[in-house]
Amino acid sequence: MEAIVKTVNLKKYFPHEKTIFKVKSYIRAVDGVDVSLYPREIVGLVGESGSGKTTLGKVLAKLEDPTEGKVLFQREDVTKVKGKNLKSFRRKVQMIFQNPYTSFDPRYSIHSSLLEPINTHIRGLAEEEKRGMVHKILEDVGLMPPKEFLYRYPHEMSGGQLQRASIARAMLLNPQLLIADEPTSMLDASLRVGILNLLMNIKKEHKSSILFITHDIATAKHICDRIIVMYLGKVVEVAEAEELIENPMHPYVEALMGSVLTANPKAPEAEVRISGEPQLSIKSKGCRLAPRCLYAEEACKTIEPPLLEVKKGHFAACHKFSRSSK
Amino acid sequence: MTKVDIIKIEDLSVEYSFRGKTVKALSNVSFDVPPRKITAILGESGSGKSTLAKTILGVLPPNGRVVKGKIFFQDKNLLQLSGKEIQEIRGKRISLIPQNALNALSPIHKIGNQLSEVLKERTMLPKDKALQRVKEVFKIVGLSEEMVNKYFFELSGGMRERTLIAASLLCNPDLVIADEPTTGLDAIIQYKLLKEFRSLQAKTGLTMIFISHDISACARVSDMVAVLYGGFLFEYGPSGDVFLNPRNPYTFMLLRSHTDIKKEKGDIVEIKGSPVDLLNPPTGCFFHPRCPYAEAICREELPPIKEVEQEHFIQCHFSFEGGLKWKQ
Repeated sequence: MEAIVKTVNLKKYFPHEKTIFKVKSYIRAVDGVDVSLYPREIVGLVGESGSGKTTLGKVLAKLEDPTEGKVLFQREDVTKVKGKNLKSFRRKVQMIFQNPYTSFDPRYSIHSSLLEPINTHIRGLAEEEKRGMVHKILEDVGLMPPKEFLYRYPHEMSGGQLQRASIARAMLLNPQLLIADEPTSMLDASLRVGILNLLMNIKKEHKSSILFITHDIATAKHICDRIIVMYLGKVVEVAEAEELIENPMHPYVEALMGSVLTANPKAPEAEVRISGEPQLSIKSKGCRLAPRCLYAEEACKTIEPPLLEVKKGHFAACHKFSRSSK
Repeated sequence: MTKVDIIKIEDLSVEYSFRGKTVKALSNVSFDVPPRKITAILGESGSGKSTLAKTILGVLPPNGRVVKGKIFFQDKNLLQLSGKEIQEIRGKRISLIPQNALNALSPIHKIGNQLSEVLKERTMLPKDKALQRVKEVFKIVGLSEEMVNKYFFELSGGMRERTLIAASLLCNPDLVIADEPTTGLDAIIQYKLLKEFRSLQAKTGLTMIFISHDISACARVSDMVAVLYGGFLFEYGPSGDVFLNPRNPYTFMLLRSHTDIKKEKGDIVEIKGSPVDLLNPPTGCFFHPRCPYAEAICREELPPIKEVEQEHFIQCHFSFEGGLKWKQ
């Protein structure tokens, strides 16, 4: 199957320490990432703070320009797209954010906010047709009856309802890719599942792909087909969701899985074989995890491990696999 | 002092006045915080969990008011003490680990000085003794002694949280209240900190109230758990009973909707409807609009509090003998 989005050695650096003349060091938020997203799948992009997951999402949505590398959207490099082509790209890729309250203009009613994408991208529609589209999408996201919500302002809605409205706005024009950046982490536990179910329905009905960015691997398990795990700007492991959760290969993912909490107070305690905390500004050339990894050897400190296919469809970037394959 | 409950909350109701309306933040809440145990308070936003902590500490905002009830702390009713008497207790006998760990201390004073300053003020220890005590508690929470010479901003998130835990232990309190202490930390660090809370409790025999919205964090750390919804104490009991055999429909549904990694893929169920709007609360039980088990009586009357098993209380019209069965 052909990928709808593919990144090639994608990098995004942010200046870290600088003088007025030059930048002394960079935060390497995304550092040489090659990932592909296929049609009609939900891919989880999992990582902790500072892993570069949000930056990668923003670069894919072209909200940030990469420092280096390419983003191929249906074989076309979108990093240099401008003008008319950019406008049609915007229609195909949409993004929703963590905090629904800051994703809406507080002075616009939901109706006006939802009309924006229609007026921007589709010309010559009668008022009736626009109204029909807005009603339909509100029903799709479970804001029923639509009449009840159309003329409300953002402050008149709860977080869960507003997140539904932001999904409605993103899905209005039927994008091929929806990038959802932690859409449930601001919401209360009892509302979270509603949004997750909605995203799964959207995948089915709109035939879109969804990149689901999250820090919570347990949530990713429940809605994703595949999971990509990032650590400090690097992809460390990619696999089908269940395979990754059953057999984590990378030491970082292993530790992450060990530290996932469950609602069972009698669950046994796992040993987490990772020490310390991540350092955002990296100077060493080796594996990013080496300073914290209890398995680290000399090679880990100097050579960056490549992302290898260890098992069919299961990729991991760790020297313990490059060693054994030789 | 060994057998007496550290905190006894009796029939506590607190309300806020808000835009000319009164909002009931806590309604008839009663429970005990047993000594040498970690009691978790679990609730979503608006459930009243922070209000409860503020009421215990006597720091309700100006628009908040205790309508009725008593909070006994070692036989003294905290709500009837004078300002001076409360000063003696707050910070010394009861301490707080605040919610936002990342900027809780001053960035321009060394940590050691900041903490020993508090000790000097509270216990009249001379400066060198105070600093010695700070080093002692640093050791207890797993920080090295050199940390006293650092500034707060130099530390990573996990270290900052440890520093605040150390600060809360300075005066050797009888009770520590931790308000969402691990929210916003990375999974691995959160896991290690929760472990730390447990071993700290075992080491020092500390009594703790752990406030959180995170179901799994509460399950990991607590001995007892209190589940709040819309200001009502819906369920209270030993964690093993509440999490594995919940008897209140809200707790049951909350656990069903929890995205737990141990569950089969897709085995999570949505709780329909929105959280209770405290400005326009429903009649009867606050959960009835969302509750699949609701019957006519739930719409009309407030549910009674009953003990369904030893030390296991629920507030519900029904008692679901033999546990709740799934119902769509």
